Amino acid sequence: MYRRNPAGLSRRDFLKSAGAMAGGIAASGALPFASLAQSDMSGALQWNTNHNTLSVNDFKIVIENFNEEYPNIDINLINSGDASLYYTQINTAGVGGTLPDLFYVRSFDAAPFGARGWITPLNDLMERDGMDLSDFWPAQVAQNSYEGQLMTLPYDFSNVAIYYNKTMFDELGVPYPTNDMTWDDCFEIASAFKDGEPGDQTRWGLEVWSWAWMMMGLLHAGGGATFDEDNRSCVVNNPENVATLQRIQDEIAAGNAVHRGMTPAGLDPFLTGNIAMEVQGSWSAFYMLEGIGDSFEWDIVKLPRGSTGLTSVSAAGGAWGIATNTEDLDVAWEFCKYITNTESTNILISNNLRSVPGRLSSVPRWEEVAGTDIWKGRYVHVFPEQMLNDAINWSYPVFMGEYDAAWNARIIGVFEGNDPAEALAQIEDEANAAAARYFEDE
Amino acid sequence: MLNSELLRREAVQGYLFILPWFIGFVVFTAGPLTAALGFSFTDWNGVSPMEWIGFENYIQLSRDGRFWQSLKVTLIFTVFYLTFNLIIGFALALVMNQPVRGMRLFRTIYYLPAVLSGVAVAVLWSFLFHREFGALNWLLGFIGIKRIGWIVSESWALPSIIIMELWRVGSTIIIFLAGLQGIPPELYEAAEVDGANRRWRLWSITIPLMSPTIFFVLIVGFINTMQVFTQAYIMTRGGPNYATYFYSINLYHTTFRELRLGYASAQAGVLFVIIFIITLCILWVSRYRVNYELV
Repeated sequence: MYRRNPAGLSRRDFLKSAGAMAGGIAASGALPFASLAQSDMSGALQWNTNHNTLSVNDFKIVIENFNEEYPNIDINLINSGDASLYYTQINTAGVGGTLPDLFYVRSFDAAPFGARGWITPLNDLMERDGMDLSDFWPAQVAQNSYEGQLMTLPYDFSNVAIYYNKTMFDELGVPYPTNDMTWDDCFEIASAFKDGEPGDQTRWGLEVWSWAWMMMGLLHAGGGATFDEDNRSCVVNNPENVATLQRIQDEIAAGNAVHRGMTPAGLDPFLTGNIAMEVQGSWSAFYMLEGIGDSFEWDIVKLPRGSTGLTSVSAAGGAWGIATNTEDLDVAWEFCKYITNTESTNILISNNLRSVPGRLSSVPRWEEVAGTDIWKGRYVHVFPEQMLNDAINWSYPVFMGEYDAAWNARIIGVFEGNDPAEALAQIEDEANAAAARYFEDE
Repeated sequence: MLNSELLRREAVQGYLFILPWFIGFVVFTAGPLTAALGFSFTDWNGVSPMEWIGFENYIQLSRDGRFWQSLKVTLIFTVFYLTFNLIIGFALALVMNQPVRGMRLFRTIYYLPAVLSGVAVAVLWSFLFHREFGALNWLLGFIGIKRIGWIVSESWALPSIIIMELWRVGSTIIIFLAGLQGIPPELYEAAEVDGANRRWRLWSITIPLMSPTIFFVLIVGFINTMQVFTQAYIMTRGGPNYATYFYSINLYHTTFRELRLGYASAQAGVLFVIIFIITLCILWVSRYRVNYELV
């Protein structure tokens, strides 16, 4: 059984503890930003990222701040906005032994990259510098670890909730979705927005994305597992998961929901007012704010509860890994620590609510920003709250990439009417064939 | 003596001139090809030590469902795309070879899609193909055809990519046009004097004299379509349900996602052999079907 937030903290308790933690850590001078003296450490690093322009601007600010304390360290930032291109570059560089000194690593990649020996285990370095893990989300620490070693330092940690178009609800006189609704309630609400017959409609109640990691949470809420407890095999083909996917397929066929993933790039039906509710991530809050502007009123509610009565939020995040081929580990480690300290995390994540910060001590700043007028009281707090109360502390297997590929190849077909049981059986077979390749030598 | 010295110097200069190309060929083509052939007999992920496994990768390929699916998709695409590309390209070239006012403008318009990048074309057509918001379904709606899930439907996804690629028939038209304009007009005049009608002139003069050009388009088109990647990768990522899982996408996944470099090398080797054998077959057929005598 996967653990949820073991402490069972309320939001108030959490804020108190996170605030106290931030103050305590800063006061103790344990974090690099507490020191204002210039360091004579020198070197040059290549830092590769996979982000949008806004984030890249923030990265440049952090580099400037870093250089005020470390004037003799040159940071060469290279960003590849396209994820596919980025991972092709990383995989190629990994095989060639020419990985950048520091690079972006998603939760799903920490274990495979660790298994391939591409990223430096951090436990010894953390112990040497007196760092502990208490300021990171436990689930993210689990995801960023491989064979008991922390492989990367967290940047952000994301989960999904339901964004909804309040103006559309008001126009049709439909009551707003609530934080304690079930998926049955959600689809019932969604049905009110259907216009015309399926296949010939331009307005839907709910949009569902098909990301494998996100769907793991939905399947879990329906009582189904995706991987075994040891993350050594895929068990996604089970009656509970078949029932969950069948339900989504039925709702899509009925015209109450629509799936994304193969719609034209650049077209966002939620922003254009064609979708009343959208399952979307914490990373999209700022994008929604900017993209929607004054076009319509919107807000966010928790992800609905599944047939088990649980919300079961799947979480995943981004982090920074130090290449094992780096020529100056100390310099890379110093920079890695710097960009993940509370002050930098505030700049990179919390100041603009890019997602949920990877450091708990940055959450007070995140909450402060979320409470400002530009957010108009919208319930963006749902994301850290879900992280505390509903996120499942699971990590991803070393064959997550292959599972993801198998899932993506089949899931749109399922949404379009293919037999879920048959598709899940094929996904399971393909994922387990990949798992066997990883574990065949053991 | 002097003559022989001149010949020797000329030969040395010739070799020196081709040396840069030769070095490039050895380093960037022949070398990697030979290395890939060697890798195909190993189990290697680029990280752990290479292990010699003989023909195991090739044996595994024969049992690999994804391999067969990718080969099937690629061959179906190649047959249909090449056939329609030749017929449509040739027909449009015949039309555009007419001395009509404003024809240069039409030629330019038809050629424009051919100069667009594959990624831009794929993104553009993703919009056109969209089931609910796409222009194609909107137009079909006027003649009572229900909305088609072009790129989200298993049965329509591959035809959609064929249609999109045929939109770029402009480059084929240009090659055919060049061939058509190389046919001596006297031949048509003589045939006309002998009473040959249009259809007869097409079958007896145009097509035989165009056969080397048709053959060229066929060979180059075949080699290119067997390696198609960008458009399908951008539009469908090989889906839905592997309906557009082209050979090159499978190769890409095996290499860059799964890092099975030995296995991917075997896949690349098999593709090379398939292209090589079919090209030889086309060349063999061309001995009997292509007319070089009058060119």
